[in-house]
Amino acid sequence: MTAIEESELARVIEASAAEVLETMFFTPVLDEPEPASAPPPVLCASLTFAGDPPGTLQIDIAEAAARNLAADFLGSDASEVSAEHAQEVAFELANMLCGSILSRVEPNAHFDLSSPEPVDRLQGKQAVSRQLYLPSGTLTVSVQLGDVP
Amino acid sequence: MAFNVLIVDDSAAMRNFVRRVLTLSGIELGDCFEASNGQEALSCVSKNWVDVILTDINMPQMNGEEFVRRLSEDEILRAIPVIVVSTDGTDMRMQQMLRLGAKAYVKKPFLPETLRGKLDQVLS
Repeated sequence: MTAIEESELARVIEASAAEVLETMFFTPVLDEPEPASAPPPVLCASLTFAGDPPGTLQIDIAEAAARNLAADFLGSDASEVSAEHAQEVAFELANMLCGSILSRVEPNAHFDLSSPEPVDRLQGKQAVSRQLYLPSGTLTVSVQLGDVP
Repeated sequence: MAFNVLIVDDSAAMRNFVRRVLTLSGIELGDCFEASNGQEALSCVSKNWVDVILTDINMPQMNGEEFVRRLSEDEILRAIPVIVVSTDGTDMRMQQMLRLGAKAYVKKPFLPETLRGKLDQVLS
């Protein structure tokens, strides 16, 4: 494993998220957050990866943003997106983010990714996190490299 | 000529996305079959004529690696071109899948024209 600085990992997270969101979800990352009157409900998803290094990736996305991403991904209207579809697309987003980030961090290594699972809230105090602003809410991506306690 | 396609992915959302990309890409689609793992996919190709397979790697029951290996061991099924569509973009995994018999590898995220280009490549 090549040691990676936290600042470099944060840059990789941002670059991977922008690529995944723009390519697969046709959604730009904004410079500033959209105004919000109250903290919105969020969906969280997490997956672990085995390899060198092992670790965990978690996403925390505003429910409205998840619905809009699901609509863009599935080619349907946001009003037609069920909670189940939004969760499933959030899983797929986490999966793609993890693959993209790991292939940038260690392009010559081999990783096995677990299936994404719902989690109640962001975990992992030692994770490197980046908050990204989407047109309908915030997406936080957190990556923890190394064995998870 | 219309092509019959089999999409293998444990995510229904991703299968839906790939199907939509295929439709929008302008390729003439015949039947578009779906399977959620390698085992279901093997069952599908044993019953249906399939011109090309698009498969993920990380799936339950039978993953894409085992699926491609099983296809390559069959004298008839090995003729079906396989394109791997995976989040795993590491060089090691790409080389491994190509050695097993896949004809092309598309890393997620991908542009629609990238997938179309690979389809043109393996179907030509």
